[in-house]
Amino acid sequence: MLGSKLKKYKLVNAEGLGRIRTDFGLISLANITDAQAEKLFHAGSRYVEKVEKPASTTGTSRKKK
Amino acid sequence: MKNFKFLGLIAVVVMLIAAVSAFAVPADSAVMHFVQDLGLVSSGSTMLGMCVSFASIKNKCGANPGGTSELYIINKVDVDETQWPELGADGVTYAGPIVPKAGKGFAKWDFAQDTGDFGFTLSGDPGSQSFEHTVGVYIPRFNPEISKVYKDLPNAEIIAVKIDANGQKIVFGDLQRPLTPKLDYKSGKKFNEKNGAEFGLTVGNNHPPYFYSGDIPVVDVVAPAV
Repeated sequence: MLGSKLKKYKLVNAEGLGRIRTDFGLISLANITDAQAEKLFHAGSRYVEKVEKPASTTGTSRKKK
Repeated sequence: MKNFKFLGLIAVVVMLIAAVSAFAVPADSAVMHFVQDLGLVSSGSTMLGMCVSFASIKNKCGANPGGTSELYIINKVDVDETQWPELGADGVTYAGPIVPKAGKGFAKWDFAQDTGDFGFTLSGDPGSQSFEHTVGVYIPRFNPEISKVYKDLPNAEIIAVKIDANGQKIVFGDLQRPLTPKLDYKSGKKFNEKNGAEFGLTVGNNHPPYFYSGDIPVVDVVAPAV
């Protein structure tokens, strides 16, 4: 599966693609790592998005005294 | 009455062309987009018929290797025409990526080492000069996998990205002027003779090939084995 190793990033618009030729070489989308995805992301690639962190579950209200 | 309306429309179009020819109209202006939509000038092309002063060319130190290393091609029908990139501020580099349609992408065509080249020539009679772009590679072998790829070549309209020995990505062909493929396979007559195909792409255009800085998304289809 494409991008199965990714944790911090996710692939988008990549259906049917196998590799992406970037300025730092050919990247296999099946084995793409977070480090490679980060490079793509910062290069402005349209095929990588950062995974949004889930909303905090700690709450914001103070305990009543 | 209909004839008058038609003549009026023609007059408006002629005036528009005259205005664009007489003044430097920015490539991203509404007028320019309208003229491009009419098919009167190609997207990303420099203005035709403009005479400009030359800039200087300076010598540069360092290695300057020849040859090319990689070839990527895509059929024009697989490109998302609505997202074709504009030219950047330098006027010779695409500012954005070439975006394939969903599920489509470039094909990477491997070729024998040191057999890939590209070129462009300024040719034509005085007053009618333009550029001729060429891309060439030698693809060794002939087998069912390669034959399957060649089968789709006749009358294909191709856009190619070639990477030169300096790592520069260069685009050949565009939506208005795609490349025409040429193929010449020969088995050779003797045991140690070449067995493969000369593959070429050509197109005439009004500018040298443009540079490219975007990604090249590649589909993993069967490619010729080198």
